[in-house]
Amino acid sequence: MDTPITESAFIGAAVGAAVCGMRPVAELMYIDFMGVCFDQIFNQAAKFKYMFGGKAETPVVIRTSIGAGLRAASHHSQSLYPIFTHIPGLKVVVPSSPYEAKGLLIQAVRDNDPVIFCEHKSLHYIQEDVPEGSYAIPFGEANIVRDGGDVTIVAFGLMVQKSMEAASKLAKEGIQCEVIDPRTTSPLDLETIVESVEKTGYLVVVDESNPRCSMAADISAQVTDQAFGSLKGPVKMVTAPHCPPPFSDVLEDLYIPSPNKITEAIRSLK
Amino acid sequence: MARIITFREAVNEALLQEMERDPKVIAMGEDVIGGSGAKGEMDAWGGGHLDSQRVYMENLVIGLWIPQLLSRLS
Repeated sequence: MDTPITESAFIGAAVGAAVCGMRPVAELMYIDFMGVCFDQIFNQAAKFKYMFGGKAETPVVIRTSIGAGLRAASHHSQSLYPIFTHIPGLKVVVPSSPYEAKGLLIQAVRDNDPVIFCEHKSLHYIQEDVPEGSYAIPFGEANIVRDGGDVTIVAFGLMVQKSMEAASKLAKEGIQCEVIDPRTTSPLDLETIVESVEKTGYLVVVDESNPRCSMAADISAQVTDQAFGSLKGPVKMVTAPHCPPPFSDVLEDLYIPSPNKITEAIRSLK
Repeated sequence: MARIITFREAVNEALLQEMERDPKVIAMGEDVIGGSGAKGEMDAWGGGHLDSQRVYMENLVIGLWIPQLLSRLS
């Protein structure tokens, strides 16, 4: 079904349809414009189950694109998944590859809660082996993309790819990174992250969001709370700076966390 | 069997497979025909299937009415 560019109307319609028994997957082009329909998402979809004593279910999926890198300026380049992670009642998915995207979207459609599905624009045309058959990847189960004993890297979406590049580079210098893709920011598999930090003693969180109240800040705080005794150094956050995504290509390239920034952060720990 | 496809194709395949599995699954795309969707996106989602879902528009409109929602829940 094609919809006009009226986010408040079609997201409202999708949420209403979900409560009435359908399972809509609504695609809202850019996460930047979610602000137009925050009420439908934050105050309606996220709260129906809680406020109606568990009687209402809202199995709606909102697909949206995130991320900088396409020279699309501040209105079309943000990574706003932490805002949705903050709201109880929403599930938030940030897939990192084609294989992950298929399995996580199938899980999102089958889930009975509202799901915000955040696709990084720079991942859309990357290729990978993907099974033809249907398969679901459960929410709240992190994927350990690379094993390593020296430092834990937690990264989301495109940042998983950038972290893997950084990890390959550091391996040549004898630093073995463990790269963890939590897949979903809500629910968050903190257990896998804490177990890894207990092994490595170091944590770097790579998040394309702005740093304040980001997933990087959230995970840093939670790991510090739960595994302070295992940390051998400060928790490092590699994020975008606290400014809107720039239109200038030179500045945009500086804005996005790069493999170099990740390796610099890790070298500063050792 | 696995084959190499793009992220975008993987997402469309997931949607199509879920729509085939469960007729209650519907796909809504913002401004797809207006030019914002990927080429062939609407076709990839299965035009006929989507046309058949238009009958549920009534359901969508009703969904916008919170009093109606509440009466369904009571």
